[in-house]
Amino acid sequence: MNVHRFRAMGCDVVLAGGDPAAVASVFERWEEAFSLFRPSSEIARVNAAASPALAVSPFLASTLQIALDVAADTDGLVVPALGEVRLRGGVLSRPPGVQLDLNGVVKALAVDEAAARLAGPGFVSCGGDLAVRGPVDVGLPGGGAVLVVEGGLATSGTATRGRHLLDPRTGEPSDSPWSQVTVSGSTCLAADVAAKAAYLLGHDGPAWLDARGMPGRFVDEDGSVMCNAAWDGSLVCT
Amino acid sequence: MAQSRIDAARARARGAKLGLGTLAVVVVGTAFVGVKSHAAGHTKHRARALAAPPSFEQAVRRSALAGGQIAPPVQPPPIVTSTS
Repeated sequence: MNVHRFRAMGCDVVLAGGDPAAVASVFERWEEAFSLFRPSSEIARVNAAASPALAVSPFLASTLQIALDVAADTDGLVVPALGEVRLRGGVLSRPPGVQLDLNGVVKALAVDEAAARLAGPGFVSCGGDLAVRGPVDVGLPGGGAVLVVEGGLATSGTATRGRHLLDPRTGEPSDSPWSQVTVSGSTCLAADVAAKAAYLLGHDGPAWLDARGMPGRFVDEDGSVMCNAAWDGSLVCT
Repeated sequence: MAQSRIDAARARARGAKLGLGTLAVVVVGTAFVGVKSHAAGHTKHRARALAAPPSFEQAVRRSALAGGQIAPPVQPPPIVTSTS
């Protein structure tokens, strides 16, 4: 399996089973619209606008709708903004000063779309979050490995960027006991969102994942590993 | 006699106007179609929104927060998951 690498969205993108240029063009399209670091991106222009109501592109509207659905599915743990955001008929409305941040879903969506466009068996990973086409063995944080048969795998936590995940319930960086939470989802988006939510939920994370039938592996600050019942049902927790 | 010459002249004028009008419509129409299909900057098909394919969005929404399939590893992994 030929593995290719390039940089996008501030991460290392690793792929196998597809044309690197085609995958790069998928990431570029998402980044062009949703990067907070590109003043020309639509989301940067929306955030810079003073108007409380704005007509947005179909691309931004559909992505924001996915983010709002995710917020509802996670009971507000993974949200597109720290403030109330509404979308109706392609018109975005929000209180003054509320900034949109769709990074919680955009990277995973780009990974899922790129994986869906692979010509054959392989995978696409961005910053360690990945989606597969056909079974792929994947290394786990702290050692061990898992065969991802279908869907995606994502890890959230503090190991790489410190306490960067804000808890929307408090507006403060999360004080989760976990350093890394890895989740297997039907898509990279599902895995990524569930990993963030399970991380933010702390000790309630394993049960929250089990209630959704999502396998999860938790590494605490001391490096100890525990897995939820859904993970234990598929392979030995190491 | 004079009246019939005037009528004939009017008929010729009507014919000429009709011919010139028809020619103008044909020339403008041909030029319009030609420009539409050849000139750079003119869309040659219906514009599509810059977005992910609708089928992809539907698939993503259908599978929101559903578990994936995992199994014991079978060989050394070519990729590692990590925090991002």
